[in-house]
Amino acid sequence: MHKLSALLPLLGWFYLLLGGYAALRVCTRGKLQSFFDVCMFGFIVVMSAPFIWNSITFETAQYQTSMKSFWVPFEQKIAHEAGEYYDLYYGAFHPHVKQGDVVNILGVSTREYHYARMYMYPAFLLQVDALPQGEFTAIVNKENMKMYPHTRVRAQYGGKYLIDVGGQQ
Amino acid sequence: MMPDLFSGLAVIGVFMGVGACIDAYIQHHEKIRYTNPILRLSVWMLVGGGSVTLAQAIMSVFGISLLWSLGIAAGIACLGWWKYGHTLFPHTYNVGEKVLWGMIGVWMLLLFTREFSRVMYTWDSVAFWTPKMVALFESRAVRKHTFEFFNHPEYPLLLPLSGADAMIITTKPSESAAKVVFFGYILACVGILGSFVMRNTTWIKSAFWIALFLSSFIVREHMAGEYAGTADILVGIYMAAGAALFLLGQKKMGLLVWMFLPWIKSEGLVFTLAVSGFLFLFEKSLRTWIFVLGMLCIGPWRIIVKWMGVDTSQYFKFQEIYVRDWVEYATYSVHAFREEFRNLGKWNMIFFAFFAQTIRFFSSLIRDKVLLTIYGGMAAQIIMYIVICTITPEEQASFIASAISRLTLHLAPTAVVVASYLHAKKHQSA
Repeated sequence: MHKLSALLPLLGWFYLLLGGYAALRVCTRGKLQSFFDVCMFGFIVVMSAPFIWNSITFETAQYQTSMKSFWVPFEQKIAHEAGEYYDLYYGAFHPHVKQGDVVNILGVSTREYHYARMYMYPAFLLQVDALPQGEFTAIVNKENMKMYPHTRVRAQYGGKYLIDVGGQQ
Repeated sequence: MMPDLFSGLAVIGVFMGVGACIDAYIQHHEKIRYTNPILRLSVWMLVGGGSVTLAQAIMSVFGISLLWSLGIAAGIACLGWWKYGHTLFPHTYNVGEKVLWGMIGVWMLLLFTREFSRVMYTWDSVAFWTPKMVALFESRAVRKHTFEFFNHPEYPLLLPLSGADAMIITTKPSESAAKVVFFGYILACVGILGSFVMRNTTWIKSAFWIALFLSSFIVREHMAGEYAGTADILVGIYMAAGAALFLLGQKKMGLLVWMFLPWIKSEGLVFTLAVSGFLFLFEKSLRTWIFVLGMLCIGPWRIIVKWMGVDTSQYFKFQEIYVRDWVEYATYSVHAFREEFRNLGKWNMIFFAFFAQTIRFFSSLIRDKVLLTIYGGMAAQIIMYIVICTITPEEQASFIASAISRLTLHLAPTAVVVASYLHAKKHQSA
């Protein structure tokens, strides 16, 4: 019995009502059965109505907010939603990489890495914890630049640099 | 912003034009004519989108760039519009239908303003789908190594190529342009669903079924909100569209729409295989079509994935099912779906209505081969999800929490199609 009572919250009104409806469908015939069918559909409509109303009010309320940025150019939209990633990786760095380039990147969030990897295509972006030894290409910030005085700067945007390190440090 | 809108609309126009040619060919074979223009345009969009992107991927492997293949598709589309565009017009709608379509139009406009005013946001889009779009836009081709840098390189390309086509026209990786094309698929879904319910029942009941579908939180978020730009809504759209077309008697067109499911997302393959199996048993006249369309729609991407040499089992390890206490894991997964179906905040009463109508017409639906096929496909799909949730390499509860809504989204539109069909008086008298 206690196992049965434990089942009740798992089923809730949702499945209990469906089970009851199935039982009624089996036990009744004719007009009574049709009556239960109508009641069930009426119940579905009544229960749906508040959610439908909520959706309408929500989407209507969103309209004015949406229209503020509807006609805004894509570059501004993405700058608003994703920060500087488009301008930085696509606008500034992407023209300076080519297929086959492996670019090390460190100190970025996973989200930024995904944007960087996407916009730097066809270069391969390697997310690293520390920059490698020897020759490599990397995206570093101003502080890291001090560690690599003999580098060729391919591109710069804000405080970030796309650099080629030639092996000497 | 106009170039983004224009390029997205241009791609939709190309897809529809090509879809018109395919529709004319299939209608000729089905010896059936449907003149409802909204239904026709919606079918054109779905069939055209699937065919053009699939053809582009195949041509690309043979060295024809996406720009050229889009140009070829545009040429065919012009022919399609010129030859079949006029066939849309003789149809007239009654007052109730006009009012309802007007209300749906306003609702879709609201959703579009929300969708178009933002860029892609959700993890799946930023990590998987949009990078593939941008890679296709940059390389103008599907090459052996195009996707090797990205997560899930084996994911199929209907969504990325649809977006990349819009980006190619607008000449920049504009997610806004891509989103216009994605909204074309959403409009097609609502067009088919609306036409389907209005054909089966009164306009007031039709209004309820459409409102029920469009009021679901998860559906709206995938259409216009945070999840716009992921492929899950497209799986639901194609699944439901195929079911609606089958129930309308357009079996070959319905089959073709279902065959595009594996081209949208790998999970769609399960549904396609299940319904193909049922149809192979039930519909002798479709056997050749199942074989031919299966080879045309499923075969190429499987071959291309082999050719690319990417690891298709990089995520799910199916041998895990033998290692784990799978009964407990599977039970947990079943409970997760039980809980998900009754989450009214996410799904409104979609699944309650579906289960209630299934109970109501249980005795008649087991004699209906088309409905049995659809239910069989849905059952196979959910069993597959339970297996996926059981073998996931992540912690099971976390995986289910993050994935269950989008997996359930695959089924929700079809649930509305079936529930509305069963509830319609037409079926009672049949």
